Amino acid sequence: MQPREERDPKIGLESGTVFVLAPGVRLEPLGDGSAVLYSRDLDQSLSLNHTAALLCSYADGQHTIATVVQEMSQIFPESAIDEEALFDCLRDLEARRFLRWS
Amino acid sequence: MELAWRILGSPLRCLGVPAAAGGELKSLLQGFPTLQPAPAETIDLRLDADGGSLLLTDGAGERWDVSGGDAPLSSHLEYRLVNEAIRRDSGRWILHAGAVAGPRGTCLVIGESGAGKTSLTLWLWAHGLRLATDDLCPLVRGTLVPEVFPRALHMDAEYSPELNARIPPRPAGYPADYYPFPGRAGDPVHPVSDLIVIERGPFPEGRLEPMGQSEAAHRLTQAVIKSPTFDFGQALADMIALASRCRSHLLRSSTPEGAGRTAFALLAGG
Repeated sequence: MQPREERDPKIGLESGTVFVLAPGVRLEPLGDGSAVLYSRDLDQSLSLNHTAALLCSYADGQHTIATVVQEMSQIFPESAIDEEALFDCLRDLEARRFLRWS
Repeated sequence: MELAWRILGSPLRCLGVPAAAGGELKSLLQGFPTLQPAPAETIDLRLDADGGSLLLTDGAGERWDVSGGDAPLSSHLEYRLVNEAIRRDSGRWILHAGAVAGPRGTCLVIGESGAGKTSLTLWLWAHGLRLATDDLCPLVRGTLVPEVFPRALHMDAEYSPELNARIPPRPAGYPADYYPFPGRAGDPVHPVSDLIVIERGPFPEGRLEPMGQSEAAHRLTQAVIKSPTFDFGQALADMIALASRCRSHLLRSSTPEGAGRTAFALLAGG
């Protein structure tokens, strides 16, 4: 799947965007592949399914969305990566102030 | 009348209680150790008449009107004593959860208000699983060992006729909406092996779905009572640990019978 190139001017999210966990946010991976995101500043947590947990594991300020899609494609060679779903997940996490673009 | 108990580690005494209400209160709190004499550090709650009202004061500026509503005075007093114990406890997480002992270990039952926690807990008890607690389950912080919380179940709703038929008659001395009784504080309880999150759903027969560890940790954290000693990060860390070591399911049912049978089959099946 080709990375999405068009830019959403409202969100500022494109395939070259690099994302990182917001300050004070910790990713807690669990044994079954799911994870919990915890924000000390917000005093809130979010439960992440396997895909969202994997996506957040790339929130290191180094990976672009395009490289994440590439790496996920290698991890799941039999499955098409739904790039739009990844964008939606990132937008949602950013709106909840668990993630930010860098 | 002067009555004192140790509840969740706190010595609490209720002063000025009329004899009739005191008798009911003793029945409701019979599972907690009584203190005779009360130690010097005992926290006193004093009941006084104030015009047409009854006020309970803690000597530190807190006062509650305990004369309102349909509930008997003993229920108001019990609620305040338990609430005070929860507020002061820094060694346990107190969850809004029912708990029963199954063959594998203790099963916690959590869910939103009205989802059927009490019905399901009662159903499991009435079908032979030992009752560990009503809707308040203490877990020791760090070890996450559950404790019996011997407060009588508050039966204030319509219950399944099949369930009501299995519950023995209420003993004398209990206020009308309380029964059955879970045992005594300090009774041994097995580690938590199962979590059931109950929700109203479209399935009369009840349907179980495995729940991921992160969702279980999230739901468990939501179930922890946010007392003054609550720390979200610490609670979450402990609930993650708990979710990692127990089997978790979401149970959706539109009937208490369906929820009860499905949950019992899960727990009795090992």
